[in-house]
Amino acid sequence: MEAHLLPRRLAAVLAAAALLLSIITLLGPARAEASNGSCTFSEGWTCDWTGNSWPKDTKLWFESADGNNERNWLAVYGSDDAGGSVYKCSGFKSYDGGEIPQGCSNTGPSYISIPSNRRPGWVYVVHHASGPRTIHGRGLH
Amino acid sequence: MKKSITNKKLTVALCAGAAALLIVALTAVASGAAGLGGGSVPVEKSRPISIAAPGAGTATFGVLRPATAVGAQQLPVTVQTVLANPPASNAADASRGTVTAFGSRSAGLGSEIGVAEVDGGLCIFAAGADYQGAAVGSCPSLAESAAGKGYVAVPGLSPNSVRIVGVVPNGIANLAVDSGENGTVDRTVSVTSNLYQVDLAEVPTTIAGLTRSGEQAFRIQLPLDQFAG
Repeated sequence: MEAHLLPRRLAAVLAAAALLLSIITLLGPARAEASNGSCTFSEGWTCDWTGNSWPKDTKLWFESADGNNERNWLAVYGSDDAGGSVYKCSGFKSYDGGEIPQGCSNTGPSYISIPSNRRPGWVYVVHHASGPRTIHGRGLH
Repeated sequence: MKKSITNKKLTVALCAGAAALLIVALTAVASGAAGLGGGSVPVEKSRPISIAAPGAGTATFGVLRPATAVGAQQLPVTVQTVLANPPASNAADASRGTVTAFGSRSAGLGSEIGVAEVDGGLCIFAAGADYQGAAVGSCPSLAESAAGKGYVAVPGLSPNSVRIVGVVPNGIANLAVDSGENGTVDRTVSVTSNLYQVDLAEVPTTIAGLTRSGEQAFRIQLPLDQFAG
C-alpha cells in the first residue's frame, strides 16, 4: 500500500464514523421519549402504576424507554385513588446524590417544585403504606 | 497529475470529516439543552400564571387575598412554577389552572408557608430554606380544607418526625394535638392567618381544631406511623 494513501483512507473512515455518530445522536432523543410501559410524554411525563402491590416506601421512578431519566425537572405531582388512609408523596433525587424533602398528602395531589440549583435529577412518587393500589405521577421539565 | 487528484480527494475527505464532527458537536449541545429543560415541554413552560377574580375560598379563609400578577411575582419562584402549572392543568384543558387568590406568611428563617385558591380548590405550599429551596405542597378541595383536612406532610426534615403545614378555616385559633391517639392532648399549636406548622412524631395522631372559646370545630386523624421506618 502506498504511504500517501493512508491519511486519505484514515480521513474517510473518520468522516464515515462521524456521520454515523450524527445519525445516532439525532435519532436518540426521539427514541428516549417515544413510549414506555407506564409513562407517556405528550405534555411533561405522565406515569401510571396501576393495580400493583409493592412494599411500603417503594419509590416509583419516572422512566423513559431508554432508561435515561435525568432531566432538569421543574415540578412533580402525585395522586392516587387510595382515599384519606394513605399518604402519597412526590420526590426528587438530585444529580449530587441528595434528595429534597418529599411532599405528601392523603387528600388532593401532592407536589414538589424543584429549585434550579438542585437540577438535573430524577423524580418519583411513593406510597408510605404497603398494599395493592394505583398511583399516578406527572413531571414537568 | 495523479498526486494532484489525490490531494484534492484528501482535502474533500478531511472537510467532510470536519463537517460531520461539527454536526455531532452541535447536535450534542442541542440535545443536551433539550434534556435539561430547554423547551421539551414548551406548552407547560410557557404557560403564565392565569389569574381571575376570587372564588368562594376568600369567605372561608381570611388569609386569601385576590390574586394579582405583582403579588404572584413576590412568591418564591418554586411556588410560581406550581401556580403556573397546578396539578389539574393540562394542555387539553386550557380552562384549568386558574389562580384566584393567595396568601402566605413567614415560617421561620428563610421559609414561607401559604395557600392559593386554584380552580376552586386550595393548594397549600411550604417553601424556602427548611426545604432546601424547594416548594412542597398539596392541593385538597375547598371542602376538605374547610373541614381541617388541608395540609401537606413533609417527612425527613428531622429524625423520626413529620412536619405538618396546614390551613384551617376562619375562627380556628388553636389546634390540640394528641400524638399516639391515647386521649391526651400533648401540645397546643397556635394558628396564625389560617395557617399552622408543627413537627410531629411518626405515630398515629389526632388533631382537633379549636375556636377562640375552646370549642372543637373539627377533628382529623393523621396516620403518621406510615412514615416510620
